[in-house]
Amino acid sequence: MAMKETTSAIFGQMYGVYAIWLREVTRALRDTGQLIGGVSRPLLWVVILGIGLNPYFRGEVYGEVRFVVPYTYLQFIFPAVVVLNILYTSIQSAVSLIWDREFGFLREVLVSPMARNMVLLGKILGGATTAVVHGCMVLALARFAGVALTWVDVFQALMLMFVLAFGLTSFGIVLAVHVRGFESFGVFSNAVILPLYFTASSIFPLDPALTRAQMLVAYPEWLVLIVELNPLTYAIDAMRGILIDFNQFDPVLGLQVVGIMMVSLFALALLAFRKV
Amino acid sequence: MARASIVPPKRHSSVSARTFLPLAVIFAVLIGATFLPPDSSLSEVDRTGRLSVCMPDAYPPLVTGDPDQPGFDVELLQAITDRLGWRLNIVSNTAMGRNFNPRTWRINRAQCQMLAGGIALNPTTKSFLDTSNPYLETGWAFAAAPDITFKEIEGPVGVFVGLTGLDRIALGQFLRERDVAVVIVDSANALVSGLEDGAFLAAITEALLAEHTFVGTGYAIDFMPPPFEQLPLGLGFWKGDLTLKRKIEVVLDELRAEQFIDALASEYGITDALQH
Repeated sequence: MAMKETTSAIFGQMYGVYAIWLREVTRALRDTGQLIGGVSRPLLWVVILGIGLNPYFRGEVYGEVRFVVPYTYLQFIFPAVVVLNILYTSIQSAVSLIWDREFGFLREVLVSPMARNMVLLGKILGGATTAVVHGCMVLALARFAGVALTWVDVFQALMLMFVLAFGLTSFGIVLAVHVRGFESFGVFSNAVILPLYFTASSIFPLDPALTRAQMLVAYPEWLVLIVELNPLTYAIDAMRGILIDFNQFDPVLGLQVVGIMMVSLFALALLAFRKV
Repeated sequence: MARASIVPPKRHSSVSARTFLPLAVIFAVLIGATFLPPDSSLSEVDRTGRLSVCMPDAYPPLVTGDPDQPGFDVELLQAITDRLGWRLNIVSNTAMGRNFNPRTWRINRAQCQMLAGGIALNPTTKSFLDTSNPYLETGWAFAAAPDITFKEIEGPVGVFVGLTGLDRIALGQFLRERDVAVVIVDSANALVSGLEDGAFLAAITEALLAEHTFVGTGYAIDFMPPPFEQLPLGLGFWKGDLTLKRKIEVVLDELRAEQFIDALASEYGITDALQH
């Protein structure tokens, strides 16, 4: 009897997670602004910026062959734009927490029999799913960027995208808990997302062929330090390893950092969500 | 206080197909965008009607300099350009094939749109060139009487290094470690006569040249044992010239399907070096 009740309670909690997940995904699918953002980013970053800068990163410079890293600029930036779309969408998904808090939905959910942690899990899973879909929008441009993908590559990329999206949505929740209004949340786009992205070796490579001393000749020390401290650097590096078979750091390091990000940011989100 | 259990509703509204319509439109737009030409390399060749290809001045049997049998790569490129309605312009470069460091070739985009004549698809080459799928393979090969394996050879070995860009230092170290006496000769034909005269028991040279030279002589030809590797050969493109590369690969696939490449390899006596 007790066993049956426990099973029923677990099933009920899981159903609650599913319901919140479905609500988050449906809301995201109906959010035209978010969808337009999801499609405009890959078009602008891959199609326009990628083509625009591609000639300056080719393997030759006006009459002399130069030894460069084994990719085109389009190929180099492609995995970074996948991560950019995930970063934006994950953090934007967390905006729904402010909506839910403002309009009372969150209060209704929190007084329901559903455990608070399960509510959070449903929201994060919903945000992560949406972010993975947005990451897939960039993958649709693989042929354009000259990135040859096998089914194994796609599967590995989806796994990494989900783990990353889970961590970043948790991060968005932590931010959203501490923000009182939508206006303040808009600031994060410029204050958090773009700085994280630009300092993650997303648009310029730290050449792995160079020693650290040589790299410090090419770039100022403070920039190399910021890039190396930014955990997103290793997430993008892991994505590059999967999609274009190129790593600037130890390939295992990227996966470890993304895994640690997921666990630690989810733990932070759990702590933060108690204050809601 | 015990929480009440969650009872899932028997019926719930599902996400309608209309919800997914914007997503379907977005993916259609992105997939449509992949058909935009990412560069002008193909349109530029189409405009001039001429494809300039940098090649070594002699690298038999890929480039021979003989007007009747100009070489495997020359004839292959001629077939490709004929099919596409272009004129083939061969730009001879003496440094190619003599030195495996492409920096010394001093080739630039203004000279040619492609490179051929023994482009090894190794990481060094791929770090500054994009490459077609391989159609031949090469490496150090040895020729000897059919009943002799390389391990059994104790007597002197004839070596013709020629113009190949293969690693001569590694070959020298390998032969020294085995305490094999080496006779350096100055032509491939000298290898045949040396074997026939009994001046040496085996002959070592580049695989394609070995096949081409020893065809019909009764000597068996095989790749050198490990640590020597077989190197795939293909066509080289400037990084970023995706449209030209895609077009050439389509024609290469057609020629492969029509057995043209097989027939050409047979004509030059290098069928064993074909990559399928």
